[in-house]
Amino acid sequence: MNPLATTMRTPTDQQPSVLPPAEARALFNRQTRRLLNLSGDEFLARWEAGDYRDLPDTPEGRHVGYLALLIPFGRKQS
Amino acid sequence: MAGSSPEESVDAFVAPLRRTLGCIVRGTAIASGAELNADNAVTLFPEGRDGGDPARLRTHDGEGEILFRFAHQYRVVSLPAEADCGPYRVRRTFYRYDVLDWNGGEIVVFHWEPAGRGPVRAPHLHVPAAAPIVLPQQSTSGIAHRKTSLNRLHLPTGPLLVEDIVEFVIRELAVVPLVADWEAVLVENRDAIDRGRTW
Repeated sequence: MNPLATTMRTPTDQQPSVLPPAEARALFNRQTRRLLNLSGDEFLARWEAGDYRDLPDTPEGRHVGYLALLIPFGRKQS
Repeated sequence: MAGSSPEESVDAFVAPLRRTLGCIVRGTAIASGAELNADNAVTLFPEGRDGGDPARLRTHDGEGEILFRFAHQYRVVSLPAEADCGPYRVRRTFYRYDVLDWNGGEIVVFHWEPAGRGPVRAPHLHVPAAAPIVLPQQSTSGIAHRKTSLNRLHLPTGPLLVEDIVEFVIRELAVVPLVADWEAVLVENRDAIDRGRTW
């Protein structure tokens, strides 16, 4: 089974405000894959190692900035 | 955006976001958590796409298309002095609203990164689609022909709400609203935010 398939449902305003942890991590993983072709864990490791500290404020650099805003999804623990 | 529990405060934060986004997006907003004093995020979950993906917005009566994505970071804080209206509140700590062309190229992006890694900490916007210009100078100036890259500027803005961006894309970029009373929705949500004094 595709572990990322859990969030492929249709979103509605009736669903809870907060994603369950596994779905939150899957969301983050898909975005890091889509924008940087990295897993969520790989991105977090590089972020915490300071690899993105000196990124230019360009469209490419801003992909990382967008992912940085989503980090709380990637850090959810079950 | 107050609540009697952290979870309730996040529900009170997300519900108006969903109503505002519903003016232009088929989908919803989804948050990462409600832990007290922890960094959390909320982003868009467009219908038929993945959470965090940009949403496709129809423009010009359906003839055109742009993309929109957003993310906020927030913290749930406890304010016992305001316990009469719910001691827990959501405080936004970062935001970005990106308006992209149909192919994902940036048109205009609004950022606020008060604890970010860049030098500009105040709310600002970028216009990546803008072309460089040559600012007029005295002919004897050493920079008479130097180009200024408008696309690289950080243009200051005040703090912006998602309501401001929804109004901007409808009025200025001809996005087709999905609800007839979108203006009333924005007024109602702005009033609620003013009452909560969240900025």
